[in-house]
Amino acid sequence: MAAEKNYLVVVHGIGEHTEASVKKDVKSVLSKISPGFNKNVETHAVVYNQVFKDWIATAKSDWNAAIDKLASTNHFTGAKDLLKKKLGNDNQDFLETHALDVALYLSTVGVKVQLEVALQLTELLQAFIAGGDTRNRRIVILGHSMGTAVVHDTLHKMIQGGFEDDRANNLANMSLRINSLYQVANTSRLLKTTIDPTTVDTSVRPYPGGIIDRMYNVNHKFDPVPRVKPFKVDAQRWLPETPYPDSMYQDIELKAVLDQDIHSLKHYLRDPRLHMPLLFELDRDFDLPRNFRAKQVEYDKTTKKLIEARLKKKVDAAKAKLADSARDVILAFLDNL
Amino acid sequence: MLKLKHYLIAALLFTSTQASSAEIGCATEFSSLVPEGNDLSLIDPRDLDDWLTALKDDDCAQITLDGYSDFAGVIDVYQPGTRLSPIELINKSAAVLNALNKVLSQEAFYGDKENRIRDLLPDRITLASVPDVIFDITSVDINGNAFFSVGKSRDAQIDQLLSYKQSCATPDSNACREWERFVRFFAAITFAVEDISESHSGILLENVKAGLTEYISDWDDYYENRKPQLPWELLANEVWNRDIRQSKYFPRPPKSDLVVFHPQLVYTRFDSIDSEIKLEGSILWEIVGINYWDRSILTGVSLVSSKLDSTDSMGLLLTLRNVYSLGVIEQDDDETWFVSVDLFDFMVDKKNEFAEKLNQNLESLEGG
Repeated sequence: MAAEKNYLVVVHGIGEHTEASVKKDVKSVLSKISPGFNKNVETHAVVYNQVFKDWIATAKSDWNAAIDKLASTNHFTGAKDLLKKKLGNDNQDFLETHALDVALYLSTVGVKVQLEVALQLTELLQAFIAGGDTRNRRIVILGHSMGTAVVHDTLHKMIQGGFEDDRANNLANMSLRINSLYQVANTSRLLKTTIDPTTVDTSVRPYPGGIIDRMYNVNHKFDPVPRVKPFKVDAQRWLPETPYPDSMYQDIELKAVLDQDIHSLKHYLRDPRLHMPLLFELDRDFDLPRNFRAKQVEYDKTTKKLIEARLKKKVDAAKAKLADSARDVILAFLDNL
Repeated sequence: MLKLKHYLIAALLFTSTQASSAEIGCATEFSSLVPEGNDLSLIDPRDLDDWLTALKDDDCAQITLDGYSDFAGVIDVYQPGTRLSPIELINKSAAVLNALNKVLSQEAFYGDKENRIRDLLPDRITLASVPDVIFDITSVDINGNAFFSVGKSRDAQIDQLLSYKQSCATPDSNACREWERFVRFFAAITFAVEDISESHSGILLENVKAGLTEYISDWDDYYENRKPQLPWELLANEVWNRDIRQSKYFPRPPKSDLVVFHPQLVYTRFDSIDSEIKLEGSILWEIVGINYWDRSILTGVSLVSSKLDSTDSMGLLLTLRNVYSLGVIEQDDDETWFVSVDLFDFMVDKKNEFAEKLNQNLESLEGG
């Protein structure tokens, strides 16, 4: 029996993320659902925050150097004030925002992000092969939010694009395949830097168009982020090379609402519509309920229950208030007797 | 690598064997495909291919092996729409074959030999058999996908295929014995394909990693060395270098960057009064220019002006090593030379350094 684990590779979205924090988010949810998860699955996180941080640090130091240079010379006091205002304070707030991360990813800085992510993915694939018995093990990539765009653009370049002066240096002919790609809160079309991921030009498609066996497009009905420019394909047209497009590509729509943070990866993972196929694929000890479809449908009603519970709470409070005021009225009436 | 060689030698052995001259049809028994003795490695795979094709033929129905009905499911894999088609695995094995074909069609693998090694692994054979040899199909189906149990050793895989033998109508029949020989032969090929393709994937990944490492270091150099850019210059360069941003492959960093409204601190006068240098500073604006960050000394050139709102005083600025500048500007009908403050500081440092060294040398000379 193979002792080597299956791989789950997570590419995070916008925000402050470290390798440890991403792993913790994923493990905390999935190991609660399936106790064998940590034993059977090795969770890996691909991170790219540092690219943005480094860029921002360089920009800040360049701009401050320009200001300081002016400040050091008495001749330029007027210009100094102007520049300090323009470059220093005005931009401080913007530099801390997530909007900047998106803007930077869409700029040439995105190329550096893709290179760094590609290197991490390559090393993970190497480690996976080094573990041996690749035919019987599984490797799954999960992108979340901006991570879906990063995964798409990076994988496309790795699989088909190659390098500027060595286009043939790619993984198109690699026999090792990624078993599944889960694109969660899919923004790969909204934030694309290169080709459109919904066309047949992309190599991030199920085999034989790409090196992925199956792809799941997972979005929440009420999550506004992936709805701006939704990832929508007609599987028959998108996968003309295979006679089984519907079993190789699937749309999964989540409906349940647990809390306000429906865009978060944790909220997505808690939904059985996502974690059931994911765990079933990765964790050989995961016990898929016989009536799993019914359970998924049942879970969809979480929102309704939540709203009902809240309404009940409000009604109860109103009743109590009413009872209180009724008592006050009676007491006042008694006092006046 | 030893393994790979091993298979290739075996493969060459295959090619050296002549195919039997008798025509292969329904009636041909598997054992007759083995040219000498029991060495299955000497079977010409093309014969095997013909044999399987013949068995699939409708006219061959009456000669189909007794136990072959079980095997039929494997052959059915070819027919789209079969309910339990192990889609994923067919594709997997097709990829394996593909990769192998690619490996084998590279010159390095067969030098000046004929293009025959590839013929050793006819698609049909591998495609048809890999799924059941390697995987156990589980009946569970989630979201419409076929799933497969995992974690079998190679021996277990062979045993599973051999278990088909028990369903032979006559266990001792020739057909069942042929079946076993066929399975063992087949498993050997399948595992060879698996090992070769795994090492092939490893080679591809190693090449990609080398490329990535090189490009990342290039981009690091670019960010470290390029001429510092102010916000509006960053925006302008996004347009200037848009091809890089939108490229379908991993691009090298930009070769050039635009310079737009970039302020420069310069000294414009170097009067020597009482052996003291008197400097006059001013601010110049690089209106527009270009800088090639990776060049050795002279990296860029820009049009400069001392005023943003008039064209009265225009000049030319040269950028050295991405940061230092010097140039000439027309002011009051006079040509005025200037150097940037950092270049001046740099020169002063160099001058002091030189003077110090000279002094040291002189002292040592005097001492000597």
